[in-house]
Amino acid sequence: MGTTPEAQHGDGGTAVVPVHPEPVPGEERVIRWVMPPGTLGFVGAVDVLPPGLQPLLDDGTIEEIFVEPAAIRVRLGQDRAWRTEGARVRSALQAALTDRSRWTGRGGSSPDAVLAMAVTQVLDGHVGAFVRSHGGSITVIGVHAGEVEVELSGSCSHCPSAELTLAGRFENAVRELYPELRRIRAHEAASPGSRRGLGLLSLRTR
Amino acid sequence: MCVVLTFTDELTRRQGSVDLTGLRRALGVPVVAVVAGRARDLGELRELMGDPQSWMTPVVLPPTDTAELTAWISSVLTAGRYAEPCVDARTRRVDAVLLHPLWGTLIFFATMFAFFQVIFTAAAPLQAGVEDLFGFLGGLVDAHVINPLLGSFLSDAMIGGVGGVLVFLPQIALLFFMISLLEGVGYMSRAAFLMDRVMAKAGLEGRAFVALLSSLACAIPGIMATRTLPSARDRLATMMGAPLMTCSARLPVYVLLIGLLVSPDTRFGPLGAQGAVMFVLYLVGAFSAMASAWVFSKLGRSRGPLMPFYMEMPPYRLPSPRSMVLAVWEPSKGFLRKVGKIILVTTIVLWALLNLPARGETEISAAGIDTGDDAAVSAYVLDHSYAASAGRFVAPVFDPLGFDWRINVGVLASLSAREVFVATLGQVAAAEDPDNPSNALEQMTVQDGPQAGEKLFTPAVVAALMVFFLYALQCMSTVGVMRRESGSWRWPAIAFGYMFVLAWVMALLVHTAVAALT
Repeated sequence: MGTTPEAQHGDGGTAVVPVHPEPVPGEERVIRWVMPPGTLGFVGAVDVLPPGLQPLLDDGTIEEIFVEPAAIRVRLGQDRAWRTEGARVRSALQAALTDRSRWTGRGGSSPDAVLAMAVTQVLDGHVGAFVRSHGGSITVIGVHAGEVEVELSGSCSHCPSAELTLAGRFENAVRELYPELRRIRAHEAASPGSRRGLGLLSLRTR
Repeated sequence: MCVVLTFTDELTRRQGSVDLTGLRRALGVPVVAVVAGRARDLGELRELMGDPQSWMTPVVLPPTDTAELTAWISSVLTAGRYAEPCVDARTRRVDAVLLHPLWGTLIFFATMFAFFQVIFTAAAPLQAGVEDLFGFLGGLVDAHVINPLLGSFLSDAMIGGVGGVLVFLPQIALLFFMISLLEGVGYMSRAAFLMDRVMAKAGLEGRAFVALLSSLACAIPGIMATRTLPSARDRLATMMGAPLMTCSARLPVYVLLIGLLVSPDTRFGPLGAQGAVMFVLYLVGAFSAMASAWVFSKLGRSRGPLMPFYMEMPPYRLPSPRSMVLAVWEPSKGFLRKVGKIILVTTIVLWALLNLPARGETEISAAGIDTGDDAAVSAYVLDHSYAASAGRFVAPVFDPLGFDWRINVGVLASLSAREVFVATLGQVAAAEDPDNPSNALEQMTVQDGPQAGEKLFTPAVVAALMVFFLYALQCMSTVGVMRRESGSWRWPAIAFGYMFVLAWVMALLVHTAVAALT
């Protein structure tokens, strides 16, 4: 197996950002180009595209670009196929990713917005499925300054291993998408009227 | 496409890990893990192989541009949560010595030397057992077969010829046992790594050494292994050198000749002289193979780009008994099959040639030989056989090397397969001295020319024979594979020609040198 080829990124902006494509089930024209978290620093729709990518959008090769915490979701134009366009899109994308200053998110994207989307993705993904399969649910109460506040309910509340499942799986999964995560605060769903101190937080759930 | 991950047990043991689900998603193809030797892990793979239509295919193929490819690999490994295994601590400590430029090389030569000592010492009792078996069979033939022609066929061709080759089965099995042991514990790749430096001097890369190393067993897998060489020029050069490596077919010939040259009691301190001579023969073979590859790679005009040399160093481990048994059984079976086919047929043809034309009693009496003396009669028949005529016909070629017609017949016959040489001498010896064929070779005297009556197998002749067998391409299977792998008869013809000339010239030099010394 030898040594792992590590593509250095972040030195001088010339190195190639490691990306690989993953299909989205049920959506043939969409590919998630998985990249290291924090490569772009914003999420959502893109307002200004780097010069290399804009032409692809203009000529109809690409229909839509949407940024996730650790991936870029690219939807091809109506009559395009990834088999033929894949290499071209990848080269353009990779060139564009070397200089993040050329990208502008639509609306001022804050780090907390990135974190919030990461949390949503984790809850929609296999960690959420795991919690649901145990008859519990996790509700996001707020995301603020790198902290996530969630509420556990169903069989999760009062479960002695809830601390473990959350601290372990949920936090690790979020951290993978958002390494700057400071901490996750979990509350048990209490009886109505006895919620503690949540009013202090500015709620920015999505 | 489907990816099968092997050695996952080793990965876990060395604190590495990989997430198959993540890897599967990132690669876009099925990924399964198997551990060789654990049949129950194969279920998933079997299921997958049964239905290739269901396999996922990647939506976008991996990039070809180097920078993009590196980035892709890094990204896929991250997605597969790949944690690199740490180097096995024991392996690292052992490698610090075994791969050391000085100690490693010394240990390499010591290992190889011990290797040949073992082949001689450990195989001797087994070999004696096989010899006893054939001696017993010979006694049965003498006692019960009355028909002289059938008796001669059974005792000369079957027991003297085929049996003479079969005696070497223990040694061949032992050779393969030791090669697969060295390979199984992981030492072979270290040897290849150490030799990469030497190969670089020969203008070749380490992969060529792997091909040459395979040729130690047989040149055929060695020539096939040259397929891994990216440059056509290197490939041909390696192919031209590979048949010079000492293959297992040379082993019986060498053992026989060394037995004639050095007594088993001769020792250099604790080391047997026979094993030492064998070691030198292997060394000279390896050196010649590399020198020849070097010459052919220089002759090739175009100089391709230098390719990097990758070689995986497996951790040291004990090979499973099952794989060791297989490693010995397969080549032993192959050897027995070869004895049963090529060697048997050639031996029968030779027996016919050595015993025909049949001589009437009157003719033998007319030649002044007592028809009651079986040994004298068979010696007379042998001396006037078709084979003798053929051997004498080529005598001008081999006379300078000190060979007489009997050796010539053996050399001619060995063009089909080297072991036939042993079978031929076995037959001749059995015919000349039916009572004690094992001594017959040593006692054999020159029949023709000015040296008639002198001992035939002098040190000079034996040494010349060894060198001749070291260089000559006496293996039609190798020629056939070379033709197939190089795509024309040109290269096998060149190889056969240059090796014959080389064999003749070197044998002459050695014969002259040894004759001057003794």
